[in-house]
Amino acid sequence: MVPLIAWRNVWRNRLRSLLVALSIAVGLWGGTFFMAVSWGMYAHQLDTVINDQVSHIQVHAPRFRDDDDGRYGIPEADMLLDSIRTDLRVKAATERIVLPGVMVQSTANSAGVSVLGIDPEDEEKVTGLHDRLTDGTYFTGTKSAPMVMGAKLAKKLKIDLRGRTVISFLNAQDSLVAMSFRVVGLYHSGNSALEEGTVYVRREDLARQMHLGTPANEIAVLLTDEKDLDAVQRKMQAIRPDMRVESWKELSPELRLVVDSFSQYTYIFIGIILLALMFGIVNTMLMAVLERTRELGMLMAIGMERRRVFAMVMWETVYMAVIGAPLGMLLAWVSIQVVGRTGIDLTAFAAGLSSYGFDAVIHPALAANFYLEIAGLGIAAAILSAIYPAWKAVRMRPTEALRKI
Amino acid sequence: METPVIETRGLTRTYDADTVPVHAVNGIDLRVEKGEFTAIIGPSGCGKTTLMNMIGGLDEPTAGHVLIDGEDIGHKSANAMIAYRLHHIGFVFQAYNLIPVLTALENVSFVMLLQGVKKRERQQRAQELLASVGLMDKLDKRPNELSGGQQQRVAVARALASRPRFVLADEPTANLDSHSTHDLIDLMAELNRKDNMTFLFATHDQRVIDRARRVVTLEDGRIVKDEKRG
Repeated sequence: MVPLIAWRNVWRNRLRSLLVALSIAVGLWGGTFFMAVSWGMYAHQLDTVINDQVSHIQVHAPRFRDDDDGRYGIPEADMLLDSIRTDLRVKAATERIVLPGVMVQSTANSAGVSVLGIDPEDEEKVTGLHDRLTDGTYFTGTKSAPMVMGAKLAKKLKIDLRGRTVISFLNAQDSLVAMSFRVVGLYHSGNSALEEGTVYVRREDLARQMHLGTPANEIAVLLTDEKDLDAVQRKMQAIRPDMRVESWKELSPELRLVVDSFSQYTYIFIGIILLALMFGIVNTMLMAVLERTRELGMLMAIGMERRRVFAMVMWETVYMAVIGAPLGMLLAWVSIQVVGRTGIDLTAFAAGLSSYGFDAVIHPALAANFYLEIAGLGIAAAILSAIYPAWKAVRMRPTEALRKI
Repeated sequence: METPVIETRGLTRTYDADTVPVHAVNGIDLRVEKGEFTAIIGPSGCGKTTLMNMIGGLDEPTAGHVLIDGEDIGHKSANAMIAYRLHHIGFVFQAYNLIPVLTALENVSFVMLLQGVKKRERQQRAQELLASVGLMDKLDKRPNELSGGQQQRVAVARALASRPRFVLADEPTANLDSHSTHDLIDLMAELNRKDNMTFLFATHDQRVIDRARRVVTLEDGRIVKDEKRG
């Protein structure tokens, strides 16, 4: 009967109880929606880094990574690539010759870039470079060596389509080589750093001057499903223990940190919301208890044990939390679904967002387990906040309580 | 000599009103036998409610003892005292003090629920008690749907529900009109006569005093008169 009394007590002051339930709902909705917006931003950044840039896994010679030097190739790269492609978990894989820290010059300006020598058809499947072209062609329409560069870099170099560039680098034989390319295509990326710092040329063009002695110094692998990452990485490492097989987590540690710390700092934010919520609940429940001082005194006078009085106040809060938390989660789910489709347009801040790798249109999204966790946290916070009012209720002395009007 | 239901020995309650101590109850010796219908009277502030509270285990004496059926209840912890009240003492308060969210039937059943009585038995007994106080047609009414007199009758039924050794009623008629007061006194007198239930009232109400078979008068925390009537 104690839960029944508590349930009926909840509805003694409908407006107040509804306000408490609503404050729980709105608090959780706000926290969840913020979490979804944050995740939407990072999911896009993660998606950009994996699909446009580093892929899931890359293979290099150890010294390539240690010295950041493109002259260290992957011996028997073709054989390794064929082996990788036979794995059904691999969506696409490609070879590259990568030259980090190369100077690219136009007639007007110069910039430090990474030059990626790619196989255009394979690259299309791995990074979708073709789909990001905003102007020009995809390595066609010229007899010269073609180059595709970011639109922002082109602007920086003051170069147009069909313009000529020269790159200079040391080849594997330690000879300084200068190669001329004609810009045939411009691409756009949501990541400014990528767009301003990476140019694409044909691998075969670079290979002629690099004299690597092997077809590539990088193999990039895109998986069908992220969850296979560790298993495929282990398998590839086992095939080529002499090479360094790294996932995007090692290749882009700053992004890994962001993803790993996402839950932590969003939970901190939700914790702050819940703390504010708890103060509200403590205040309301305390008021509800103090209003019923006489009644609580009577209950203890006629023989209701303190633990039951305590449980009654706790039940009242649990009921309000159980009404408020699912309502908040429903609100959050609906709003995330709706806004997730339409997106939040922050085009006005596009330049700033892009420099951090964020898209200008954010699509909030959240995994199902977060809804349950946040709802659980909300209910737990409500229960915790009821402890003090419940304790106050049982500390009353019946005689003093009965004297209250 | 038979053990009295209620006995107080040198019962004293002193309040520290800032620096000047106030003796609300000052060395009261009182014996209430089984089946008595006793009124404690006296002017406001004479110590009636304080005495009732100490007999009911709601307040602790500064000195002296309260014995219920010969057992000194002064050494019980707060939790043990709550359990003791539940099983041995029925309370009727001036302001009815029913649980507002429960019906009349539920209010009466509630005490038995706390005692651990099975549902069927408590439903049956609650109905019988409400029938005995003339409220069989109000079982499903909540307190706010009942008159003051009806609420106080529910309170009497609730006080009896736990099969107590005695009922303490503190100003039970103070909020009632004349008609309801007569009905309530008749009801309690009938329960006293029929079931030999011991009633101890604290009251100002002359109508209650007139029906009491024993009247104990307090002044300044002491018994100044103890009158038994035929």
